Amino acid sequence: MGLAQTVCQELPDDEYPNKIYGVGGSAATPLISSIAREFAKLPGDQRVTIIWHDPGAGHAMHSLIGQEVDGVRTPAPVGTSGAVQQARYWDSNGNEHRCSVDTLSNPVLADFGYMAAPPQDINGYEDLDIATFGIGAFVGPVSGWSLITHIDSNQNAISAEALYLVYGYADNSGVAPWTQKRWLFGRNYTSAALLAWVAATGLPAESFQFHEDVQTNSAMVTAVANAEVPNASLGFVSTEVADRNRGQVKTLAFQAKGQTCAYYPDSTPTSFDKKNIRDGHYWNWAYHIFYAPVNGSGVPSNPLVARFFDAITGKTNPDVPHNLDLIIDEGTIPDCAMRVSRDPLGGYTPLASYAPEEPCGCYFDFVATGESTCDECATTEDCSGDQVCRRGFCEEW
Amino acid sequence: MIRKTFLGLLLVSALGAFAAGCGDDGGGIDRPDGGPINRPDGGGGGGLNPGECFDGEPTTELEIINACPTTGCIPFDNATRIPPDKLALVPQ
Repeated sequence: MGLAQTVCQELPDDEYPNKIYGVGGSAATPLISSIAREFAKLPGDQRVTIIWHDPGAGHAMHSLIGQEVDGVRTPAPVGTSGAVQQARYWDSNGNEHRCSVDTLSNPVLADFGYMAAPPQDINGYEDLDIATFGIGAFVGPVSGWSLITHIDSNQNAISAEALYLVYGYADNSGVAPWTQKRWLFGRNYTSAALLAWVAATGLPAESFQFHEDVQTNSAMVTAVANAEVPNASLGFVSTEVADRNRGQVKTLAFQAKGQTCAYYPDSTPTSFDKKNIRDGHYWNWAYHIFYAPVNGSGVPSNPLVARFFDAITGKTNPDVPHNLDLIIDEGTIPDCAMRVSRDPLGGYTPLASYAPEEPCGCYFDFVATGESTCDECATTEDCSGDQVCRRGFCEEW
Repeated sequence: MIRKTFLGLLLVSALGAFAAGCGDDGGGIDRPDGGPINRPDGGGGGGLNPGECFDGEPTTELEIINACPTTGCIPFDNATRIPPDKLALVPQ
């Protein structure tokens, strides 16, 4: 990228047709990038250019509905909300680029928003019904929230109680080795990642103490990786971001309140099976939720957004037929691979056992880890009992 | 009754090893049989001690997060890792 900044709105329509602007948290930036890249590679008029701005989860609401000022809510144009200035876009080869949104001479409103949190978890939107503003919510795959420490840390686990004290009392936590505020990193109240740990610990968002608000998931990885006292370092990111940076930071197993042992999101620190999220042993996870203006039928008003949502939420769609693979590859979990659930729009409601309509656990294991213990099949006749052959594997039903 | 006593001794023994192994946070419960300590009735999932798991069809959140098997779990013993005066500051 050169010194001159590309202006997002000035990207030529012949090269970058059908632009849609999205605003929200950085937790799902890997997944959004993966799907956006596929839309950028579609031929001709089928192409959709997704311009993605990820200053933080709460900014999705700021951009679609707006903070209340003197009783009035006005959506904030893309780029005016949050400290992260640059947006991402993808060319027809799938390469990622950055552009600056012109907020002065050509302000644009967001076509969609994304948060791994329900609106009521966002400061200033607690009692707001987004439907009254014509906004609909679309539930996507599951994302874990990971606690990370320096790659050389000698720590492997932490409990909810310890985390409460570490972030609540910082230098005075008493929980060795996390006793130095200098090496605690955090996010502000617009971050879904912070809200996740608020839910897990019971520590109010405003009571979190840390050295620096690092603004994004990727910046959190950098801050923790560069900590000069490895054992004392602590931060938090989405599990997919942690997965992408296992060479730089180390994920801690987490022991939730009332739990007798700590668990990684995966069955081991080196696997990618998300087993403990899928079966409920790893408590801290949420659904990626996408938001957009909807018509009277509850469908996104912008048909380009509707296409993008179908692909990223895991629906069968013609634009990205291999979307399930991409969702799994990016470290997120489609609903069909989950065996526990919580109310997607209710926040961190208690976990419940869950039986997906058409389970894909065998296929998930195969894509995520390269192997599955399930029998392979061509048709259901190759399977036994109640099993059903789906995507080449005998799924449980 | 004899069975209960045996299980109790097994539990005490296992928890002792568990507590001793927690200081270095090295990972894994050091159990006599190398496996998880199961409690068939689970006590609703709320009466489990560190390292125990709920051995049954989980229905509540506590049972789900503590369900057996506990493959790969790493205990974090609040009682040994957190000073009592600090632990008292954490809301229940």
